[in-house]
Amino acid sequence: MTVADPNLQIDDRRGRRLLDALRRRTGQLWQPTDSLRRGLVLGIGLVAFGALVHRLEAVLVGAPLLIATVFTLSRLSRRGSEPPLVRAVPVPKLIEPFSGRSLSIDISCDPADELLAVRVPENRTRGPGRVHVLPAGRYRIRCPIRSSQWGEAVVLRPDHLVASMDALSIYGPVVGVATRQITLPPIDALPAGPLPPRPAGLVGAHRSRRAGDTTDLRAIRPFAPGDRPRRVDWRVSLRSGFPDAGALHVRERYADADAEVVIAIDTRCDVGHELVNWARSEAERGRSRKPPQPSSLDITIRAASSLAACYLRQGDRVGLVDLGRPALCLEPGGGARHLLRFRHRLVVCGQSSGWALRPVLRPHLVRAGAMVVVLSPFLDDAAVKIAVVASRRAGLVVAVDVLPSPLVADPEVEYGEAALALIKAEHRMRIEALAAHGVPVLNWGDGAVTAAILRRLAVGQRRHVARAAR
Amino acid sequence: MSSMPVVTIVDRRGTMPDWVLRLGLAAVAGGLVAVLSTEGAPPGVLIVLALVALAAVLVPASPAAAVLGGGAALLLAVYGGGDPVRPAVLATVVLVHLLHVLSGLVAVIPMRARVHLTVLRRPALRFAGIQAVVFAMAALAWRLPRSETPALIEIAALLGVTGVAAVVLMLLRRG
Repeated sequence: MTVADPNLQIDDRRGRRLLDALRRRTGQLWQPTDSLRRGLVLGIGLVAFGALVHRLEAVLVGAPLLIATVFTLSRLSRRGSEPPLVRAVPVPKLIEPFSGRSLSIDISCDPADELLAVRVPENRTRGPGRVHVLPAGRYRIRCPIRSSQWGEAVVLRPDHLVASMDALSIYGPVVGVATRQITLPPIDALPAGPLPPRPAGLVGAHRSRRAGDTTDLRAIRPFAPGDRPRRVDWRVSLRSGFPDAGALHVRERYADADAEVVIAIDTRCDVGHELVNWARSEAERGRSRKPPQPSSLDITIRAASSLAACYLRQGDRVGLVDLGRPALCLEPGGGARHLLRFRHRLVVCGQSSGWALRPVLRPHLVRAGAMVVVLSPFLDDAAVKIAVVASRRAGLVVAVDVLPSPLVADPEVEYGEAALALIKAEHRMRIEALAAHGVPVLNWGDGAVTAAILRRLAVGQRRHVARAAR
Repeated sequence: MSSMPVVTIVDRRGTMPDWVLRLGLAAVAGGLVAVLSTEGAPPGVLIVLALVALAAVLVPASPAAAVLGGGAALLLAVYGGGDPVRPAVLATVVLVHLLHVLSGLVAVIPMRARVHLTVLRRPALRFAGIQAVVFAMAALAWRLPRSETPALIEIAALLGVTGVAAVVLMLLRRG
């Protein structure tokens, strides 16, 4: 860009005009305010008027405004060319719930600037927070955050506005870049529970019905070709008369086997305790000042996360099926990374939850011998049908009822109690139908109930084995 | 960036809601109308000024504050008599300046914002300094003899105002 190159100068001027227009559109430009016009017009006008008509009152009223404005303008003229910089410090994409963390915003303003209004996240409040008015300067804002709500959310969006002295000119308002963060569903500590072993595979944490190499005694039987010599039970063999008359006996042990669990979640409806909110949108529900109670979807996600963590910890394979969105399924897998993947997929399922015409549980997702846990509020017959059909195909199906309890009738309508009674009766009938088809139904409560749930799972397993033997 | 001092925002201690400033602006505007009512202004003019004051409070980013400040100064000049450095004038000087500063702040602070009290320290110090200068000018004017001003001084004053306006224009172009 030199004087000898006029075309470049014109282009440059055009470019600068275009840049200015863009900045004006996004607020990234210093602009005068009404305060500046007021200070100039009143300051100069009143002083001149007072001098002309010999009224000291007008001069005295106008003088502070004129002095303040001229002083501010003189400071602003010495301001550097660098625009104010307000930016969020990068944060990890995935975080654990209840983990105390802090979000930071870097502020870099000229000393001539005086005031900074910036949107700052607040503790225990979801979203980008409210605007705080702070002194302008060069520092870092740190906001300690502790959130228990799982899901993806905008946690930081530093919308900002910088004002000079007496707010004579402003830079902004500028909409900040949103930082999204995924809070993984929490894991409730569950005791490890027994599971039906898979027929295939001889590794894992569960006792198989097959003979194998564990320390659990299965039987003592006569020696057969192929038996290893180290399995010979010399005490029993000698007692039976070996080597004269009796036979050589060997100890037969059980084999280990892993288990496969498919957790099927019903995300087609999300209902809470109060029937009055069932037909309301999330925005309408959000207006309530009451603290949010866990809804059926919330219970479903938390329960699925806890169950998956429990079984993955003991080396089993866990898969996920979203009955409302079959495309979001997760193939069974094991290990810590799979747990992370599982919880992340739960968040995705929770976000894309919504009504689907009918639940879908594709047969290829449930392998033979796998255990299926169906988590649903069972508000329609389709979910019941899915569980019953799966129980005929899979090894063991357990239905977990996640309907919040107790339900509260709609007090605004006269038939609220009747509607509640009808819903309860229908729900009870569905649970009974499940039980009649051999599907054990459990109610997911808080942590105190979880041990009982797993004990009942063990009972369900024994019944299943007994039924299979019959 | 890592060497920056860190300000931790934990809770709302040391802050106030934005409506406190709006309330202060309303008090200043109301006080200005009250001061003018003691100066013998006609009731009709006072009612109009009260409406303008209301507009200045409700819409701070509007010319209403300028109209109120200018109107107050003109009323003092037109209806007031006697000593030009009387208590009502001094009160109006403070109130119009406060109106100017508070209108500017309230106009840029969003609704439902939390204002940290440290923000107000620099404007308050500047306000006090400027008021001290203006009150010193008033004291000087009050001690000067009340005789007819020589034409040379009047011309110098007008040239001075013109010079200030030129300086302002220059600063505006540079800023």
